[in-house]
Amino acid sequence: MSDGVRITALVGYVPEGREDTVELGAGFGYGLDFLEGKLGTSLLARKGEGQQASDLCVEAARRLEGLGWSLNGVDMVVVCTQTPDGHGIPHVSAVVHAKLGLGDECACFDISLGCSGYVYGLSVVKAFMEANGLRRGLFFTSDPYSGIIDPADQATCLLFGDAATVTLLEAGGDGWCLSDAIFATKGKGGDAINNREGSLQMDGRAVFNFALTAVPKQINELLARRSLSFDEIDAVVLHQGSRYIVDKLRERMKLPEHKVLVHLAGLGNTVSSAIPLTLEAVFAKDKGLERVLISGFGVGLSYATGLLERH
Amino acid sequence: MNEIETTLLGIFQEAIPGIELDPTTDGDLPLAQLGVDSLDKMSILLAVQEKWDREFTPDEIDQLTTFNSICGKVG
Repeated sequence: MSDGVRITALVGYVPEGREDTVELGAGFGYGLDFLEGKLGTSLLARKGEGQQASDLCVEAARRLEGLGWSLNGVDMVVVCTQTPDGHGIPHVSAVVHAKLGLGDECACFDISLGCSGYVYGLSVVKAFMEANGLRRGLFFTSDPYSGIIDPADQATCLLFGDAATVTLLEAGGDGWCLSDAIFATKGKGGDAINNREGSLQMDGRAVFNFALTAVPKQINELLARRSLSFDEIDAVVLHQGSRYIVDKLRERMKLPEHKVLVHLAGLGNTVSSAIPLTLEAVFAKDKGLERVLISGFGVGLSYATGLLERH
Repeated sequence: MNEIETTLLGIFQEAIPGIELDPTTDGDLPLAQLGVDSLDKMSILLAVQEKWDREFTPDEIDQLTTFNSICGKVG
């Protein structure tokens, strides 16, 4: 059995392309104040022509290497995506494994989840590594939703951006530990976000109602079972569905603005990458954090909340 | 104002701080004209549903376009 598995590095990759949504928004009657004040951005990150989920993962890994982290000895690769390369076979993690030139002794599999995927994925990777004595795992999130967005669909075309992240987890390293997590699903409402015939469809009202009613309860449940209060949490990183939903959740939980970062400018909602990209920004902003709550919610309707503690 | 109007006004004011709304004169104005956008409307209707333990169908929601129409739905 390995020592406790911790997050030792976290890096995002945001493609250089941007889609300016001002004109598109105006077509629906939305001005800049709505796009930036309510949705959180008027610029959505866009992958390059021909780039697929695996390419974004590789770019994230190259950034990790660029920061001095070696990929030697990586014995696990997991990719969380619902927009895989091609038609999903082979699994994206195997494609990434090949593109990074990793060794054969490496477990690879994908996780199919959307906006709650980062919390689930961290728990799965940590548990799998600890159960199997693995030492170095790469957990990617990559959901280039631009490939499934209908530009005429008001409910989705102003929201989603493309990005990927990689989280390095190591046994016995100093870093952040996922010390607790709660997972839940309201599958009966799952049709509220779906991909029919290659085009994303979303019932924004149903997702909003789900998030505002379910997420605060789940967060409070986790705090209660850990005998913690919000005062003892340094930052709360919520899925960045839109600025409005982050603000409304923060208001419901009566949290101060400085504890709940909104990280959407120039990005948009990057699905499974939204929490890790925001975490990266939170970590960069404040090196003294000790305890951070993460909470993702969306496709499924799946929601998950985790507690990260620095060790 | 009756009790429902007072409560609903409070919900509007909580959802949109600073909103200028007098139900006696503005009750039949379209929500958009009051500065209520589609996201604000979602927030208001969620609060209404929670307050009065109601669930609106998509068709009902489409018809809730004024302050008074929402009052009428929960009254």
